[in-house]
Amino acid sequence: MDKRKKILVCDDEEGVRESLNLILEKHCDLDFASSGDEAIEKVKDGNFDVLILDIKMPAKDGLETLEEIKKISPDIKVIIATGYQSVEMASKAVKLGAIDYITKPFESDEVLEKVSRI
Amino acid sequence: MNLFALSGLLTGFTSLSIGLFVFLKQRKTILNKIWIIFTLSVATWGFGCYEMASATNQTIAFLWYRLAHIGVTLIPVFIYHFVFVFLNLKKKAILKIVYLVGGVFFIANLIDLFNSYFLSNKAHYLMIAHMKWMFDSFYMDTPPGPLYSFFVAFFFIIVSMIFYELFHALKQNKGPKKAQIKYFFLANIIGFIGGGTCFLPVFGINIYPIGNFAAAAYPIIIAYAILAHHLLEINIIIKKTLIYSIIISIITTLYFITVYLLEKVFSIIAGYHSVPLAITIIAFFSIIFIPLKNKIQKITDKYFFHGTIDQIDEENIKLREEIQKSEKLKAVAALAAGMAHEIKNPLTSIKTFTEYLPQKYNDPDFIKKFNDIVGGEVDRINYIVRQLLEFSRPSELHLKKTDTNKLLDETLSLLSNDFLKYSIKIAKDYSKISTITADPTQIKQVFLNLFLNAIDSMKNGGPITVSTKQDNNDTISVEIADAGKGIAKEDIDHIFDPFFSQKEGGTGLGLSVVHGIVEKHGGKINVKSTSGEGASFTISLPVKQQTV
Repeated sequence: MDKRKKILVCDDEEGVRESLNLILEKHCDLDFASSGDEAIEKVKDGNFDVLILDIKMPAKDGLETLEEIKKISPDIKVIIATGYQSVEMASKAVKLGAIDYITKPFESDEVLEKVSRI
Repeated sequence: MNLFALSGLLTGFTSLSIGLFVFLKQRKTILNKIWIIFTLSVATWGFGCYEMASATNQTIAFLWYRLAHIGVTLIPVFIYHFVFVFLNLKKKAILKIVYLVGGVFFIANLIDLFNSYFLSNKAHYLMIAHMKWMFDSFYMDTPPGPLYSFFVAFFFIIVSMIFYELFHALKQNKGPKKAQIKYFFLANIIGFIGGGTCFLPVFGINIYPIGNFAAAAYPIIIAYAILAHHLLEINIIIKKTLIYSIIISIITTLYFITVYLLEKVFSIIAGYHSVPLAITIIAFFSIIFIPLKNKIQKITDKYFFHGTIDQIDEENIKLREEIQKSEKLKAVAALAAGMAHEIKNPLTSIKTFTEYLPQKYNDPDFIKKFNDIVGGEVDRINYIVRQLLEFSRPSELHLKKTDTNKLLDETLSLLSNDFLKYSIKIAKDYSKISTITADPTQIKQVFLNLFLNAIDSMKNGGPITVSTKQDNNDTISVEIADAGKGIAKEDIDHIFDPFFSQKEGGTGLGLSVVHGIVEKHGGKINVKSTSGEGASFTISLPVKQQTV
């Protein structure tokens, strides 16, 4: 990876946040949010290159969060994290501006590769 | 009335009836319009035959027979046109030729009519030239007019052509269309071959034209094809009771006629009326009447309504089972999708942490997180699987007399620390009568899940109201109302769905389990809530269970 990217990880599960921390901490500058609303606030304040966003979250779900974040920061690159793939969900996410996805449980190499490609 | 006259009358009546029926039911399609004209042509032939065969002088007989031939000359033209449209034939040139040639004979017959009226004995007739008394009435005699033989040849060429097309279509088609063609073909075979015997005496073959009765059968077969196979795109819903009534009326009439005739025959033979014999005959027919009626009902069901009531019921049961199976599969698919998500989250942590263990086993922070997270996630997976099992294969009910007030108090006692921690106040309003027959362990689970949900929504404190009420002699209701975050309007319909959760860390199975347990007890659960204004769950449980 050339430049250390600034990545925001948004997932309501602590275990998932910690997992992505383990995978990405050596290569990127990481910040974390445990809800859609928290992620939106952090994007407003920070200048993130990448957002790794969980689709299924209580209160505000990933797609809703994605829509709002794209209005605040249209250039942010969004990778969806999901435990259940569906064509319908993937197509909705792409329409809202997501560029890729990673599936749970994560393959570390896959996560690193997709982040480095951005 | 002689037989030929009767056959003409029947043919006229049945053809006119079917033509009128189609006219009233469905006259918009080109096929049905052609059919109506065809039946009018046949009716003209039929009534014309009746009048001719009833005529007492030759002039009248000639007139009626020529009038009948207005219909006869049109029959081959319109039956061919009908088949052309019905089977969607392509060669329009042939249809045009049929109209042309048929038109020649039609006009020739009209000329004969005109001549017979105005020129009388001086006329040279083209079609029907001679008549004589035979078969108990006036009938066309040999030799025919110069064009008549050509007309008969034309008639049978057309009949052969339609037979060929129908036979060909019968082999190529399947399903409802094949059935329609089959009956139409049958009607044509019977009608034209039978009716064609009327031409024989004209050529010196003096066979009584009894086949003309077959022409009367033609519309009856077509009527059946309309009723049973929607020929002519006429969809009729005829009440079974009407068909049964008609059939039973016919049988009852025949029954009485039979009884009367038998009794009459006996009185002629024996010379006196025997009352015991009359009673015996009536009793005998009464005994066979019901089985005969049932047999006829079954036949009617089979041929008109595609199966008996039992068969239709069987099909309905099969259809319902298919729908239930399909719904179950949908539910399983939804459950699998929800479960996939719930389990994949803890699996993610376990996988990643174990993957990095070899590199980081010396890192105390890592080891601490490993211990905190991985162990907890394994327990979580176990909990999800247990809940799912409970939800999908609920345990048997162990029913006993259960005091709901006491059960509520026990559950509240279990959660007293949480109430204290979150400054939650409990207000109780219990009814005096609260005993039901239920499985106390499972009902306690229901109360526990509802209280836990209430606590989760009120982390900033507030009141929870718990009340019991005897609705009537049959049910007791329990209400648990909180002053928490409430449930959004769009979520209310989904809160009992498995894996639906708006709670952080929630599995989404708690309320599904509650719902399942309440239903198993024969009870109901309702929820009222407005977002931001708390939620109220009311469970109604029957006082008595059927199995106790």
